Amino acid sequence: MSKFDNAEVLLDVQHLKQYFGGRRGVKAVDDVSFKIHKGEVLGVVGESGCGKTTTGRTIIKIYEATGGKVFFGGECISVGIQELKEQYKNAKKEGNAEEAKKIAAEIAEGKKINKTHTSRNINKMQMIFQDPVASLNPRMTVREIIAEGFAIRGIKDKEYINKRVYEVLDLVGLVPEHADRYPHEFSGGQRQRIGIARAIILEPELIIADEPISALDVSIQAQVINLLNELRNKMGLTIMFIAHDLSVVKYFSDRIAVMYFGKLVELADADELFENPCHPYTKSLLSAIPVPDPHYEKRRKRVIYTPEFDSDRSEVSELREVTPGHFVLCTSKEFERFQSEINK
Amino acid sequence: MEKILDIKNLRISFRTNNGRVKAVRDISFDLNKGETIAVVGESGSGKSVTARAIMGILAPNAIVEGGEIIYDGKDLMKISEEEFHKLRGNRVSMIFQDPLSSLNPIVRIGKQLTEAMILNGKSTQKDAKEIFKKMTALLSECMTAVGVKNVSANIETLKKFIEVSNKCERAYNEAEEKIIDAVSHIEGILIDIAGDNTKEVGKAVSELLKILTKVYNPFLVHENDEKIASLSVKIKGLAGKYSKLPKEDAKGQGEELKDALEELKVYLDKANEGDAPNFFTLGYYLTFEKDAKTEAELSSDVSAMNKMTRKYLDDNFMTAFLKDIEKGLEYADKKSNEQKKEVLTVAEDMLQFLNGDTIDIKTLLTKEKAIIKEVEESINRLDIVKDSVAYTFKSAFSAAVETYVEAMKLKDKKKLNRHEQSIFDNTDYNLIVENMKIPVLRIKEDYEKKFANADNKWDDDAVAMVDYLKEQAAKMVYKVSRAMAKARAIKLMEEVGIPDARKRYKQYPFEFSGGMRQRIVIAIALSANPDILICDEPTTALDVTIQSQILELINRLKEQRKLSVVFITHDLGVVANMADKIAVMYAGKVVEYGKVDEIFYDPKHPYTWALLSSMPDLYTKEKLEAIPGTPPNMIHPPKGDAFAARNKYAMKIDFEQQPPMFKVTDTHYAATWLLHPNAPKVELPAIVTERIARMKRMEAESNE
Repeated sequence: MSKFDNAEVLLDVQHLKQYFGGRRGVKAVDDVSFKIHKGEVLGVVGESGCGKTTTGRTIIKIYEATGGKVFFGGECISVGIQELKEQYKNAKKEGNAEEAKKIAAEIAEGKKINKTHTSRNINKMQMIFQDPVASLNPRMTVREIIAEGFAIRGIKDKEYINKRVYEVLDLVGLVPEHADRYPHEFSGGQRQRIGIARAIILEPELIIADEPISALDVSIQAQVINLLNELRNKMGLTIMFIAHDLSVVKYFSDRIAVMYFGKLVELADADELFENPCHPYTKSLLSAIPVPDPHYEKRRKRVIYTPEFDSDRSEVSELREVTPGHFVLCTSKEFERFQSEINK
Repeated sequence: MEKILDIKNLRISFRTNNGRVKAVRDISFDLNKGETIAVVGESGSGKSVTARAIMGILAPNAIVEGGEIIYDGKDLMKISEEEFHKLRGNRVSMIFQDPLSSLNPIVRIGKQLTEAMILNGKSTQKDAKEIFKKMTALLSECMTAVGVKNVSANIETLKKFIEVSNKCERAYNEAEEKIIDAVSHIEGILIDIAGDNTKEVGKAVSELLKILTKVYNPFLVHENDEKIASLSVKIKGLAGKYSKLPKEDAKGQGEELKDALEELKVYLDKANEGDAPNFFTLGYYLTFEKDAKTEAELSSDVSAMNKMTRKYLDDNFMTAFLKDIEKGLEYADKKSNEQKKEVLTVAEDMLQFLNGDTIDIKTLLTKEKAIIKEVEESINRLDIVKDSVAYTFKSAFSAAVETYVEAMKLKDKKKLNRHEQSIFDNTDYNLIVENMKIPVLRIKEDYEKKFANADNKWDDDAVAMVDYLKEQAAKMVYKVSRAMAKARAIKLMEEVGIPDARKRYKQYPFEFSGGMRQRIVIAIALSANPDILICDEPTTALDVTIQSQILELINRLKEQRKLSVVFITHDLGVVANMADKIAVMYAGKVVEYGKVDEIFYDPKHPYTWALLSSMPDLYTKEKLEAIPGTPPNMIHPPKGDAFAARNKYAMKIDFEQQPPMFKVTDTHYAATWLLHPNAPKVELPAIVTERIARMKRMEAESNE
């Protein structure tokens, strides 16, 4: 149980789906549901191509969701139209007029919601990108980059903008003189600080940090993690932290979600997940973490996950709660096994 | 341990618009055979530049300011591009960080894998011919000098029967490769039968039958020859019928064909069981025994044949020949030892001259010529393991002398332009003279050591010599055909863990996942059987599970092939499992150097502490100790310890003077003033001490 369980739910993702390339295309995110409480850090881990970045980008509406709903602060901000359309077609084919009518209404409402909440006006949600070089416009000064959010919002008061820009620069550990420089004049760590400053200037409640440290040097990584931690304490930020470095995720997150091939396979408190990993994929992931200890490394045995053998395929897996707050994607048979394993 | 790579005082800088970036500043380390050295540091510390220097692929604006990289008796910093062609990829291979950008996107994987094999085959042949000729000529010269008779006849004999044995061995290898090819074909056909692709089966079977005609070799399938022949006839008939069936009717019709194929596979798998024949001795037997049995007759009992031919060879030729070679080698060694003694006197003289107050340039040049000539003559050209110090003396010493002469010219000039003035101001004349002494001192010490440890036994050396000649002769007839290259490429792909290699062989890079692509890159790097593998952040672009797979793969291949690995990374966690030795680099210098246990359990340099404490592990709860600031600008590197500005343990002297390498143990060195006897005692950061204590505790627990 985490200390955030009683806090209000800030982000609620329900059956989110994101398919690329039409019907037979890639199921990048396939029926993912989770909640993030206010003030919490949720780490999302998984191998490359498992859909963790796509999940983040779909939530912030860089992509239009294929199916499912996203609620932010209790308000629905995103509805997957495409899936509803398909349901509508099926219902019509089967001659179920009542059902079809209901779905049609849902579609209309969903369209309205999607129109009112676009990526341009979801100010309370911001993103930090992986590559600090590619994500900053080289032809804009740091001031312009950071203040772009104000421009989009229609705030033109120069004095106010400058004041805020200097404030956030100070917050992320840069100095006001940096405001008139261009991104290329900064080192990698400083550039990532600019990216963070841009994300926090509109005082967001939720930050989606997409691998914010994997493009940085080891010595700089710690600086950025410490900065995020400080900001979190100061501003009461909620963070969805996407990464593949498990040691960092463990250090930084309250809860951790493990993804595999577009599905959420396990979701638990950080300590609980590392102590009692249930899903075989999680086990294999944990066994692969390199540790700076030569003797330990010589003894380490890697667990290999092959879905065909390690997972029960007799029925469709569902996300079930093994112990309070610990969800695992499993069948009923596996569910019993996991429970007995933990209780042992 | 045999030292395979030796880097000494390497200095490299880059010319840029803003000035010279000093990327590598005086680093030295060495690498033994079968060992891994990890070079750890953040970006800009010069680790990749070092690796690129070893490969000879530095950017065009790089300037090598000094130092040596010695490999196989050559200084890689001074050899020509032509010579580098022979080393690069062939003896020294490299794996790059990003697998996508190091593969050609529009060429099939198979072609990329076999290309180098086919090209390399030809050049190896040529080289081997040259070496064989040179070595035998030298050897016979030495042997004649000590009065051995029939030298040229004996060498002729050696040449003749090695040729025969190579022929046999090649036939054997080709047949073996055909068998592997056939087996993988059968696997493909079985998959096709399961999918009822009748047409595909027809095509594949006719290919298989073609291959099957080439699998026969007296030492391979002799017991099953007839069975294979009869089975292939049977398969031909069955497949003929099966392939004419339309796809819809094919279900269940392929059972008989399937069984036949599986039976054939069992026989083929058995084919190369048992002892491999010793072709070297067999070659002699076949060439010189008048009433020799044929290969087919001999093949019934291979181990008996090996014994018999071995005895025949020893009795008739080899024992005596080895004795002769011993004599020749002893003579060559004696001769070169005399020369070496002379070198010692000349070197002593040279040192005295250099220590004198005035160094006259003319005398220096004549003396330089004399000492170089002496050293060149003192090299025993019959040594198989090349003596790096003597071989590189010429290039090292003449470069130092040239620098001195240039500097002197500048000093005598009355009017200097701005450029020359700046060079003049930055030149340290004492250092230039010291630099000239280094190679002379080195060769003196090396030769003295050699005299002290000389053993006068030649039997092992003679055997090694024959083995060496054998190896060269094998390379001489070595030819890679397209089909052979393909079979070998598929074998390699299986070795690096790519499933379904036959099918994958025909695919393009974009059809592979990140981890698979990196495996292909590793397979290409290994295709030429290199001695040294350089891995430049091979796993940085991959995620944890794939990363540990690739690391396991590199470790396994290292064991199997006795590779020496230079592993470059910024992640200390990755290194723990890979490395035998670690060099921690910062701002172009090696700041700590030691065995893996010493670096992790007893780190001495503040930068190593900072690296260890700035990354969280699974037990970290407290605030991370980030390293403040950024690395220094290498256009104007700091005067003292480069890390001082970011180091909370820095003392006054750190900003003023560069610390030397202090010795901790025989294998562990660190460049920090904290190790100076007068330095205050400093405790390790708490996070590091705790971690080390926990690691020790965990180890003790697991041992119980």
